[in-house]
Amino acid sequence: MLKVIFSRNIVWGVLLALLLSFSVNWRLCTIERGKYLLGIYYNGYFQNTSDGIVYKDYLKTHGITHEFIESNI
Amino acid sequence: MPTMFRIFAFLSPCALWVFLMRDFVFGRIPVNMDTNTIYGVTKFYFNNLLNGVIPLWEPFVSLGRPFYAIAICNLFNPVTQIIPLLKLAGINYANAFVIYMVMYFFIGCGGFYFLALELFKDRYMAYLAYLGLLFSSLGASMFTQMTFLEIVVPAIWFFYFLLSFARARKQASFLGLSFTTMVLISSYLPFYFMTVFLCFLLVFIFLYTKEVPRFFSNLYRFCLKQWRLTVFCFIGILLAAVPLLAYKILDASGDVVAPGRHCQYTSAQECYDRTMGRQGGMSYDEITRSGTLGERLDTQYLFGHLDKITYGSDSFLFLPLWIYVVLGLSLFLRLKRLTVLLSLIAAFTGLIAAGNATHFFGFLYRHIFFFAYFRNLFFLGAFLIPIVILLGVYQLQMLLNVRSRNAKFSVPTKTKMIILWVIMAHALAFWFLKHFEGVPKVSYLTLGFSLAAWCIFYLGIFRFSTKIWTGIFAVLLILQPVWILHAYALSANEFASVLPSMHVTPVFAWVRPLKPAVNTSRIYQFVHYEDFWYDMSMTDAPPKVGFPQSTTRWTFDLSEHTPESVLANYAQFKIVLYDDSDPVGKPVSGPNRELSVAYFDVNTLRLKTDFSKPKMVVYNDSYTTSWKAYLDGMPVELIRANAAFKGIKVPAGEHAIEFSYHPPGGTWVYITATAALFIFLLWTVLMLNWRL
Repeated sequence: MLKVIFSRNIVWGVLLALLLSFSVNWRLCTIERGKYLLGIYYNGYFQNTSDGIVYKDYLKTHGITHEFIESNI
Repeated sequence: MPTMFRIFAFLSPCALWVFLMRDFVFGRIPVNMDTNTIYGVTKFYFNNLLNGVIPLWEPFVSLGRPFYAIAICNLFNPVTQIIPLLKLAGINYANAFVIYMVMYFFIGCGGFYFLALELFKDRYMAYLAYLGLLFSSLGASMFTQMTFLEIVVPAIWFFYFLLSFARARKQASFLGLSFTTMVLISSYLPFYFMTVFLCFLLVFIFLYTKEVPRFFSNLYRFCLKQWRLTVFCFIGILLAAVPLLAYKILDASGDVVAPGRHCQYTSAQECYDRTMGRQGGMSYDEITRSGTLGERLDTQYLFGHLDKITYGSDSFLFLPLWIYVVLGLSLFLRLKRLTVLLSLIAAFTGLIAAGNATHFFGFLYRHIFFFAYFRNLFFLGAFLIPIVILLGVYQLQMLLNVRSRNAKFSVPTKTKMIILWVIMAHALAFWFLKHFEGVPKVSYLTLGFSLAAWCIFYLGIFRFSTKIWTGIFAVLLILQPVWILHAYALSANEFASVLPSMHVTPVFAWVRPLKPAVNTSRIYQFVHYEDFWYDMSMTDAPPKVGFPQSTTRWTFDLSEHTPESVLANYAQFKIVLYDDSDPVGKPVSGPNRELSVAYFDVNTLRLKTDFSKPKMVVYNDSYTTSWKAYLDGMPVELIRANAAFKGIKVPAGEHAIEFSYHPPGGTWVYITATAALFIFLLWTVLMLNWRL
């Protein structure tokens, strides 16, 4: 019975999801992505506002505030 | 009729794709981001080639520098050679370049069809895989990040030939493997492919323990039996690798430095030290500071705001929604080895691409040399697209088998249970999507149609043929991507502008402009790629060095120790004359009785002189040890003048002087690489016997 249960895609999927979740430093990803979307990697200034709603939403949904930028980005 | 139908089935999605991307394909919206640089390099190369010169030097930018990108922009690929042919047929370079990109993408999709066919042994599944790739972000991203195609297209064909060779050891497959290896080596840095291949090899050896020894012993026997072919293929691969080796030799000579690799995020002193120290590759910090997948990829934008993807960024990554639906539906299927293989390759590749967000890349950086040569780890993300599509299509194949082999299937065994799971899975998908902002209505529509289709399929209400079901699945697959591509093209319209695309015969300008050329193209507001604009138009950039990806060590050194305005004031004049009575030097602003240009191309400058007394002619174009000087056809000493430039002593009277560039390998390296690739392509195609 156990073999039947464990030989399903879902078990493998959960294992992979766990591997990804625990291997990745998501906070660092958020910081790096914040820098990228803010345009710091392009020109060194906060000038990538033309990314429009994607850029603004990212900041909003990931809680990137001015304080966060000052302390992390 | 069947043949005509098949041709229609393959060409009509391509036509739809071209229609959706028409503003890009017909040149209304110019190529952007890295594709802009690749276009600049390609235009520069073929424009000069049609002038009868293989360009090895860029005299127009950074006060002159080696044409470093010649080895990394897919210029020797037989497909790329269509650009000069189209130009000769009257099409401008920009349009010819886009036609080449689109062709290359379709060739990649074709290869993906054959790979899926070889893998699943099912024409209909292979066709759906083909559609999946065609309508993923891989194609649309070519206009901002052509590098994705440069590394993924040959890799797709490589794996197709590898699989067909493993199944039946035919000469054609072996030749195909060699040819695709040659393309992978000569098109861009092969390290991206090597990373994915190593991931594949590692997982494959682990999962297919019985098959691995058999494969290698068969390969060994094949090579012994076909030793002439093996030697020939080996030579072909070496020839294709020579352009990259030539650049490596040039790099090792110390003449060339890469401040762009070391100066972006470091202090001025560290930038200078690392650049001049020519430390091989990049430091871990330099690689992981930007360009990782962790920085570019966010699940939010795999599903939401897909209509707002900007053309001002190159982080466009999406897969058709229906692929995720199929993957979700397959959760209770029996786990197969191929599922583990594909998902592990994707997971490892993704984890490496995540850079410093995981420990994987750091470990590999410390232990495998080529990981120091990565610049943009997010390029690896491009490989995830075909891998996940293959995974999805494989699950689809198994889901379709559930009905036909219902009796043998243990969970769930009854149609009612299957239907219940289908409804539940779609409801979960709906609930999942509701968590994201800006999910387009078409995504929900796809979910609704998918639910109806699967219920009909499992209930067996209509006994459609496989062809009809493939058609239905094809519509489900492309419904959402069609809308996304349409929205992408619409939002990119604000970038409409014109890039230099006409044929140019370069003219030697005696004076460099002090101000940049007026450039209204909006794409340059995002990334400062103006250098490539000057290469496209073959006009001089202002005399400034900055931190380019490549320049000569003496020019960089000079620029770091000289105020920008002082250097600009001096180097705006390309020729300065010195004699014993005039140690300050006299800049020349145009041809005169004493000095005139006899010949100019990007690799060579010939001057006619008629001085009243001996003079030193300084050509304010960067010095390297690969430049040679000639006086009346005889080699003479080339002096490194004024720290970074070229100088030659010229006696009084009428003389002809020449400065010409002869880097390691010369031009033959590129001719032989192109010829070798062309021969191998022809040979492979002649040996193959394809059927759609």
